[in-house]
Amino acid sequence: MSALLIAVPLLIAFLFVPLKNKIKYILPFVALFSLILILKLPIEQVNFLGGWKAPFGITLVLDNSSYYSLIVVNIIFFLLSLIPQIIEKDLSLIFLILMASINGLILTGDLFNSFVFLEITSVAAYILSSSKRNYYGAFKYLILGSIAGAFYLLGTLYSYIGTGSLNLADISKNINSEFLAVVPILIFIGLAVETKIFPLAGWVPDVYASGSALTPAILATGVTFSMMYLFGRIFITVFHGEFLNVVYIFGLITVVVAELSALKQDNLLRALSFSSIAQAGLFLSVISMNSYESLTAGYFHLLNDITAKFVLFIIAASIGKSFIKNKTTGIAFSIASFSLIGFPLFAGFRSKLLILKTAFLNQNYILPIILLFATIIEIAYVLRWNIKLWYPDNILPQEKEKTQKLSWNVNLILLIVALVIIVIGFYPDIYLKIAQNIASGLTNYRAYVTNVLGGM
Amino acid sequence: MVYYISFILIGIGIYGFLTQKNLFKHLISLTIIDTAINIFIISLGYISGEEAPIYSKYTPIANFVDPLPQALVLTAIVIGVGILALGVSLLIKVYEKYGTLDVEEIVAKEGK
Repeated sequence: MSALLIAVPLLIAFLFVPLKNKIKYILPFVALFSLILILKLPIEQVNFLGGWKAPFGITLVLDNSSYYSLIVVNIIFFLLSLIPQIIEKDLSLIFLILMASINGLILTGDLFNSFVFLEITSVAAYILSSSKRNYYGAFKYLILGSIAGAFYLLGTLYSYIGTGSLNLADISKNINSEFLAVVPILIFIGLAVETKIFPLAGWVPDVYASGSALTPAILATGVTFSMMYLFGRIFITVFHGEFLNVVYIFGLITVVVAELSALKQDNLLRALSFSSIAQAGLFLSVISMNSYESLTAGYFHLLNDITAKFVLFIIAASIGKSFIKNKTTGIAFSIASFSLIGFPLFAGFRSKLLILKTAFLNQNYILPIILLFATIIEIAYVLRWNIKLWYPDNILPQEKEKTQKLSWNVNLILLIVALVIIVIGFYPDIYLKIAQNIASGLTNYRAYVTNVLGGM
Repeated sequence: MVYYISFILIGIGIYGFLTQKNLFKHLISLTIIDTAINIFIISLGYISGEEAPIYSKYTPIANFVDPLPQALVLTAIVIGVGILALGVSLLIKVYEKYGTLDVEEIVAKEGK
């Protein structure tokens, strides 16, 4: 059943190639179909493709963590499909392909299969990022992403040499210290481009700040979330937390460098993309503490971050230089940006508090220092951008004429998401439940192995 | 022995990225790395003196090389070709927009 999540969007994408202009109206139905299908699927179900048993064939694993990740990603796709204004005509097909490949990336229980889905996701992302004539940024992304893909493939092959298997559960069972020296490094380089680790995140501002609203709205939310899920799956379930101390240091460096660069930007989209890099670094350093509590805190923070970034990127890309004509949009922007800096009463505050609590429980004092330092810088630039957009100075009258009012459905969806941020600020249980389920699925690797390979 | 060839090729590819300023040469470096990894995959499954993994009446004893890497390399080649095609089409667009493929000239034109 779960294979339908991959097959249906792909099939519709290929069937509607001759009707490119009509595909826009089908997107919401496809997204809604996947969402309903996921909610109907039973958890703890393993799908053997072609009837081959676990270590030999490709498996699609639906456990606690992949189930809730699928729900999050598909809700994002559904929300985006309800705003057809930001989806350019030719990109609807790519939207469907991205949907199929991300569902596959989350479901798959096979390392080589995850490489294939990673490459499909990247190719769809390259095409998305070339919109608005941003060809040079897209080419840079293509080169970096493909080298990373090559390293990921090399890591996959080394784990095949080391364990004689490509199945994640089988690798997790047969893991030995000899091959652990090389595989995590290669796979870390492979995932570092998509998870936006500092030395390999140079493509992010060029791609996110192209001026298209869809590109950052989908890459910074859905794609980032699925990559973070894959990162947790590989490094925590399969490698049992090996190599995470290196990830921790890279994460902290990423936070500091990205926040300082965000402060310097004079383009809102570029500032937001650097903030996105910083949050990714923070997330990775939090989950590197490798406990159930830290994973819960990390995924909770990631959920809050993608909710805020969804609103921020769409508004930043589609609005002109001020909120004069779009007051409601401005309110949504302010709510999301306050959540981003962790202002009390907003969702971001809850998750930052939880991260601090977890770090102190683990007797880790460097992460809180970096987090508070980053928060101070965030406050500086977020407040500056809010003031700049609410009270614009020296704006020309003809520019004021040019800024258009956003249409009602964009405003409605942005306001609903902004409302969710406030609700989560008061009742964090909904997001906490998702985060806890993902964390328990990732940390409990024995249950994962028995689930996939059968009672052994 | 074949391992060394693939690692030398990966080294050449990375050297190309770090030193070349022409975007087309970056794409060629990428192809070199892809080829190197494909050679590496093929060399994984090779066992000296064994036969091709096709079951027939001429091979009553299944003395086969490992067939899995051959399945993997097919997929890897297809993905590599797809990315190469996408990269070349992006480069055509880059050339139409900037009139050059030199990194420094493009950065100078972007900055304007």
